[in-house]
Amino acid sequence: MRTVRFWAALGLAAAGNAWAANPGEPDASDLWWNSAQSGWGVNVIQQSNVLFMTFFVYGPDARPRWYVAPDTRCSGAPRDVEQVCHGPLYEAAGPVVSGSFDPAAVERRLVGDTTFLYRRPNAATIDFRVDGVATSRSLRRQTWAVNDLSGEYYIQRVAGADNRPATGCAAISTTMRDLGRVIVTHSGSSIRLATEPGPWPRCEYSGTYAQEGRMGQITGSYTCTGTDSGTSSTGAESGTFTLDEVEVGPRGFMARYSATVGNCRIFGNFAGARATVQ
Amino acid sequence: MRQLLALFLTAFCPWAMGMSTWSTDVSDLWWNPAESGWGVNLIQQSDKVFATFFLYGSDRRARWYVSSDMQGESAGGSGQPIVFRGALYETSGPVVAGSFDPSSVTRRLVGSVTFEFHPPGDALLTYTIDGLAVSKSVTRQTWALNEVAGDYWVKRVARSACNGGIGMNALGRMAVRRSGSAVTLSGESGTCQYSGNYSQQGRMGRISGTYSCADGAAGPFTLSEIEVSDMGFTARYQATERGCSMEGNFGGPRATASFPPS
Repeated sequence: MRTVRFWAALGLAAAGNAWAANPGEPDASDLWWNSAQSGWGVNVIQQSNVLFMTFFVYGPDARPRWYVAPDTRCSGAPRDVEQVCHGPLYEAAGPVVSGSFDPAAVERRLVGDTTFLYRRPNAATIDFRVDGVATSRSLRRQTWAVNDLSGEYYIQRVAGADNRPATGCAAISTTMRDLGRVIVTHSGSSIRLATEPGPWPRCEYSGTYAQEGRMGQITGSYTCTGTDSGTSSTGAESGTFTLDEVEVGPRGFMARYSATVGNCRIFGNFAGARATVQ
Repeated sequence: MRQLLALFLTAFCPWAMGMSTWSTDVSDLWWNPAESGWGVNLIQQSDKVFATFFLYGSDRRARWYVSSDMQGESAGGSGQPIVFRGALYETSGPVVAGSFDPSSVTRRLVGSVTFEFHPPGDALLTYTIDGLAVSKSVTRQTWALNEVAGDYWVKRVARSACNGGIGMNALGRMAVRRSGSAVTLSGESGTCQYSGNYSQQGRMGRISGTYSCADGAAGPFTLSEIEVSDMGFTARYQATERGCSMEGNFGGPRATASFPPS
């Protein structure tokens, strides 16, 4: 075993604080598990296209043991196909963490490698080898508390139609629709997003909320009145919709938007700043 | 023998919601840069944190501990820290290869943990394991910088410290451009221009610099807690405007849409 500054050598030096090759990578950060195998899991934290993965598993002596893959690089594949993330896997040894901790006493050992196949938003397959023993598992994001999306936000929606030949739809250019000040009422699995009366066309989205890990999902139906202008969409519309990868925080709301209008699917983004200041 | 993760979450009721978007998200890998080699991973959902500690035993072997139901006790604000507290467990179980029998996983209560976060970056981690009390300063670990460049439809919501009023400004389609750590955010004509330097702590970005708007407002600004994705971005906004401190939110959707495969 070599003595190195483990976390720094494997973590920080891994990417050297490099900028992302692709802006806006799908975010795999979460606690991942296999619900049929409760008792072990994988922590994933993503920055740019680099995953820092920590495996909490067990050794042959049944004692808890962790392994780390601090430089798991994701391919630059299109964002809507499976992301392939691959990197080396290490075991570490070191002193008890108490009053003082000497990082020079930490040692690392390369035990194998890992591949994290991420299918956005909530599914993955993990393959890993530890000292020649290969393991493959299906994983999902783990959920233990449901986020409450209630609040008021200034939402803007950017969407266009998928006009590739396979869809059979005409091209609809990507446009922004300003939904104005939107009140989100969230109770149990029921959720409603409705434009507050004001100088903007009114939209109302009603549906069902579900969550896997950090990511929420809303499915339902919607209606919007017309009278938008300028760079915004025009005309009334209605249909069914899905908001995926919903992430809401004290600063605002972000989600991936898709809807069916007539026979055509439209896709885009749905986001905005929180209208209240905490 | 008990099923570890499922039973840890005894307080979990699938539709028992916490408070609305409870606090600044502490989800990240936390470490002490002077003590490279150990860390703690936090994932927050609502007002509950699942913490996994990556430490070592007295035999120097890698050993993990888990606090799977840390309850939020303070959401912060007004200079107060964000605080989570919970019980800490050690587990044992079979090797994860071939079949894995969750009923053979056992857990043992070893102590407790408190995480006290002082935004934007520093936290105090206090825990006990079998009577050994440890207190460490930790911060979010950064290993790769998120790209913020792109085009977004941005709105800004800010409260003035001078009169308490909250106003919203539509900045239109904003071009965010980066060269090295220098970032410019250019709103549509008649709105505002921002320029500053980008830095990052863990998952959270930060831009500090100066701004000017067509209405004559100008001064220093900071965007912090920046979270960017391929859907858009959100951030905390702080600025000085005509001698008044402004505090609020800043964000919107990406102006370009991506389509899933046919």
